[in-house]
Amino acid sequence: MVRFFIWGVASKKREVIDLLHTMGILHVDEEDRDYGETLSSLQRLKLLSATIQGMVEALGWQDWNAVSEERLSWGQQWISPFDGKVLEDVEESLEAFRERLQGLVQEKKSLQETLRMLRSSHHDVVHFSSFFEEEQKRGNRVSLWWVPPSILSRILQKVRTVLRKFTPVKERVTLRYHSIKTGHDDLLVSFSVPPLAQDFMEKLFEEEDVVAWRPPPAFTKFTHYESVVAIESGLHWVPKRLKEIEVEMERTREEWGPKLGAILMLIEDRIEALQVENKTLSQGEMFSLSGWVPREKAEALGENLQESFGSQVFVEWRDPLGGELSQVPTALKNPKVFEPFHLFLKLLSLPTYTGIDPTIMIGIFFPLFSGCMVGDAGYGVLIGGIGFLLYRSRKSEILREIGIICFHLCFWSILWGIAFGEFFGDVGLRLFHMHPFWLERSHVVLPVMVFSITLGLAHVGLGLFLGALEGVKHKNRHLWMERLGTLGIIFGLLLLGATLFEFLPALSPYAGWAVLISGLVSVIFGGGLGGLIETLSAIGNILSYVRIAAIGLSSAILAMVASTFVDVLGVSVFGLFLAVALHLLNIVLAFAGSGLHAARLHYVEFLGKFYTGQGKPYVPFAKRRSASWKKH
Amino acid sequence: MEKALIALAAALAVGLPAIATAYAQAKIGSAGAGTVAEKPETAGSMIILEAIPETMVILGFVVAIMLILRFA
Repeated sequence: MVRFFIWGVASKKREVIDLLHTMGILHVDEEDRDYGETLSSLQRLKLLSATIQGMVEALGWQDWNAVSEERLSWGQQWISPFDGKVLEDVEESLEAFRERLQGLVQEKKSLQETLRMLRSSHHDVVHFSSFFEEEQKRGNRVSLWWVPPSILSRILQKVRTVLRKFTPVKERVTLRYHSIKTGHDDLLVSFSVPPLAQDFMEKLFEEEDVVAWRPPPAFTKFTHYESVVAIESGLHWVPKRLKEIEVEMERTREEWGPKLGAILMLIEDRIEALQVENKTLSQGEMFSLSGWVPREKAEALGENLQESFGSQVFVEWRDPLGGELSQVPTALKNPKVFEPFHLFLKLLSLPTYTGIDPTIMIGIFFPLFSGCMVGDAGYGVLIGGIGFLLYRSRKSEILREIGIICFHLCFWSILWGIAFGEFFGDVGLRLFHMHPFWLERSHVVLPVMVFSITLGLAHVGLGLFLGALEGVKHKNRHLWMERLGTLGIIFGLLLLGATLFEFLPALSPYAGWAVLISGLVSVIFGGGLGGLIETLSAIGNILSYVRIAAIGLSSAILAMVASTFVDVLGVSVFGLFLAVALHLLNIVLAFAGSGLHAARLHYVEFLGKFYTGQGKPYVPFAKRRSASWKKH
Repeated sequence: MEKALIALAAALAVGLPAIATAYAQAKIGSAGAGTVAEKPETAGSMIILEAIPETMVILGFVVAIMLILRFA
C-alpha cells in the first residue's frame, strides 16, 4: 500500500471524486471533517434513499440484476445534477407512486385478513346452512351459541321452559336445534324459536354466560342464513380480487422495480460521493484528499487523474511512514490457488498491514490435516465430486470457494488414502488388491499417532517461531523471548528424551538440559509465570494433534464395519444397502469432522501463537452494483 | 477376568470423557444457538467453539486404544 495524496482546484472537486468513484481504487482516509453546507443535502438524500428502500421492500422486488447499464444511464440523465429542483421532482413522482402502492398493499392486507375470517366463519357454520335455510322458511328466528357440553342438558331444559310459554296449551313443545362438536371442549348449537321467544332466549343465554357466535363484522346486519350465503359469496370473490391485486402488483413490480432500483443505486452512489467530499480538506480555492492505494495501482490512478484534469489536479504517493502503519488498510494478496482460504480469516479480524497473513499456511496445512483424517481415496473422490458441484453452483462466491477447498481436500484425501491403502475402507484391497503404500492405520495405530503428534510439533513450532518473528518485528521483547523460550523448552525436552532413550546416543544429555534451561530462563524473563503456563498450554496443544490419528482411525474402522455387513449378510440387497448407508454416514462424518477439527487446530493451536488481527480492511471508494446490493 | 477389566478400563476411558464432552457441548450449543439467533455472523465461530470440548473424548479414545493395544 502507498499513501496517495490529491490536490486540486475546488471547482473540479466533484468531477475528481466522480472519477475516483468510477475507478474504485482509493481507500479514503477515515477522518470526517466539518459537514458544513453538504449536511442538508446529505440528509435529504438519505431520507430519499430510505423511502425508496421502503418502497422496494413493499413492492417485494429483489431482481437487482435487472438494473441494466441502460437503466442506470436513464436514471443518471434524470437525476444526475442532484440539485434541489430535481430532487423535488423525484420526491413528487415517488410520493404519487407511494400512495398508489400503499393503497394496493393495504387493500391486499385487509382482504387477506377478511379471507382468513371468512374461512374461519365458514368452517363454523357450513354445517348449519340447510338448518338455517329450513328454519327461515318456517318463519322462525335462528341463533347460534358456543355451549360447553356439561351444561347442554340444562340449557335445553330451560329453552323448553321458555318455549312452553309460546306454545298453545294442548300442543307439545317442539324444540328445534342442531349442534356440532367443534373441538375437545365446545359445542356449537343452533336454536330455532318463534320470533316472539327470541328476546327471552337471549336473556336466558346471557344468564348462563353462554357466548353467541358472530359472523365477521361486515355481515352482522344479516340473518344467520343470509350471512352464510354472504360468506360463501365472499369466499368466491375475495380470492379473485386478491389475484387481481397480485397481478397488478406483479405488473407494477416489473415496471417500477428496475426504475426504483436504478434511482436507489444512483442516490446511494451520490451519498457515498458526498461523504467523500466531506472528507476533503478545503483550503481556499484548493481542496486536498488522501487515502491508500495498492502500490501496483498507484501509477494507473495518478496517470488517469493527470490525463483527465491536467494541471488542475496534482497527485503524489509515498510509502507509509512509521507512525502511519497502524492506519494502513490490509488487502489480502495470495496466489490464486490459496485465495479461497481467505474464508478462514473471515471468522477473525484481518491481519494488520505489517502482520503475518496466514492464508498460504492455512492453505497448505488445512487440507493436509483434513485429508489425513479422511485418509480414504474413495471418499476423496466423492469429496472432489461435492467440490465440483459446489464450484459449478454459482449461487454464491462462498460456495465456489468451499468447492475449491474441497478440491484441495480431495487431493490430500486420495494421497493419504494411497498411503493407508484405503478405498471405501478395505473395498480397494478386496477388489483391486490395493495395499497400503505406508501402513494400514486401522491395524498399526501407534505410528500414526506418533506421526500426528510430530505434525503438531512442526505446526505449533512454526506458530511459535512466527510469534517470535512478530515480537522481533514489533520490538516486543516479552513476546519474542516467551515464544523462543517455549520453543527452547519443547526442543530441550525432546532432546532430553531422545538422549535418555538412546535415540541419539552420540549426543550428551547436557545438550538437552542446556536447551531446556535456556528456554526456561527466556520464558520467565519474557512472560513470567504466565509464560510458563503458556508453555504448558503449548505442549497440550501439540498433544491435541493426536486427534488427526484418532478421527482417522474411527473413520477407517467405520468403513471396515460397512464392508463387514456384506461379509455377514452376503451380497444381498439388504447387505449392500447397509454397507452403502454406513459408508454415506461415514463420508458425512469424515467430511464434517475432519474440516471442523482441522479448522480448530488452526484457530486454537496454530494462529493463537502469532496472529493478532485488528487490521483494517481495504475498502476502496467504488460504485456498488447488483452483486453487492443483494446483500442488503 | 483380566481382559474384562481392560475392556472396562477402555470403556471408562472413552465413556467418562464422552459424558463430560456431551455436557460441555450441550452448554456451548444452547449458548451458541442464542448467540447465532442474535448475530448470525457468529455461526462459524460457534461451530469452532462447539468442537473444542471434543478434545476430551478424542484423548479418551486414544487412551482406550492404547490400553487395548498394550494389554489386551
